[in-house]
Amino acid sequence: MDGNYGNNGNFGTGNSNIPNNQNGQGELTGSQGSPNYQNGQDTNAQFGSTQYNTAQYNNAQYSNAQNNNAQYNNSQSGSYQGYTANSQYNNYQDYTTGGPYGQYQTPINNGGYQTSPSGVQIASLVCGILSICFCCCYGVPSIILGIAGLVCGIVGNKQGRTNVGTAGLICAIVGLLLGIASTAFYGVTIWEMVIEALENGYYY
Amino acid sequence: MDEKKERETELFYIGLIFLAAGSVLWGVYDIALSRFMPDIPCFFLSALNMYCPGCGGTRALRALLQGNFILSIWYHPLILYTAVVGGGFMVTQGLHRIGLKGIVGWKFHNWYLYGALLVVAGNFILKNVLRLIWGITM
Repeated sequence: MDGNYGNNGNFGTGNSNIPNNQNGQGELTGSQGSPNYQNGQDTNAQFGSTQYNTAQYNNAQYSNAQNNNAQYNNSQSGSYQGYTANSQYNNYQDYTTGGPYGQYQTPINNGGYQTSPSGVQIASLVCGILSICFCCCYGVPSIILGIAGLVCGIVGNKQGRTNVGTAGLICAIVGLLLGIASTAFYGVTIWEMVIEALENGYYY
Repeated sequence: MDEKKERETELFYIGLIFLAAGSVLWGVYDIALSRFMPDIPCFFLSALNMYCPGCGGTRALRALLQGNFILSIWYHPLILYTAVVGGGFMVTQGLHRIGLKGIVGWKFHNWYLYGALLVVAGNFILKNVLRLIWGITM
């Protein structure tokens, strides 16, 4: 449909999204009042040239009003092939008003990690640090704190992962392993002491 | 902001529980257990010939309770760090909750915990370097 460009300045016709550009002046090229666009008539040979009258521009894709509406003027499509200012802005508006870019919210999950830890995750890291520090206190406090830290870490990380929660989990696991090793060591040592005491008759 | 206040309330009550449990355990250990516990060498020292990450903690706490801050830092800096940071948080939060005017409870920051990890790791490395290379023991 030749003259789409020239007749009303719009590629899509009859679309309510596009302001009724009766004159087709200047919206596309900013040359309102330009002799090229007087009365919607494109007097510029360039625009009346074969280049723009080819099938590329006259085929159903470009000439069919319905397709124009859908493709160029439908703000839902997100297409900005339509070269009318309004469709451009319609499409642009989609990105600024309704879509994920329009309503920008501070992401809670930044690559899967939250920004602030919960109380349980903090407790997990505290238990993990204490578990590591208490590994030489006969091992048992370390095991208890390690298990507490592990449970808190697992529960806390289910709510949302944070660096503190992850660190708490790691510290709790390290503390638990040290606690188990320490308990085993002390258990064996105490057992040997008991055996020695029994052999030497140090019993009552 | 409400979420952070809730979290600080949670931490305050968890801190109270830790404080109470720790006080009871310390009392039981210092008064009763330490006299009767067998003299077993430290697991880390026996197995790896190294100080463990918590080595010197009880001595540090005892020194701190006696008012000897320098000795407490030497034995284990985590004890004084916890007293300053954790104690400051608990005291200011407690006073704020009581309603004392002009007192604003310290806010929780992640670096409290990262700092504690750093102190433990740094103390562990430094003590063992001093012991293994220069023979300086606690």
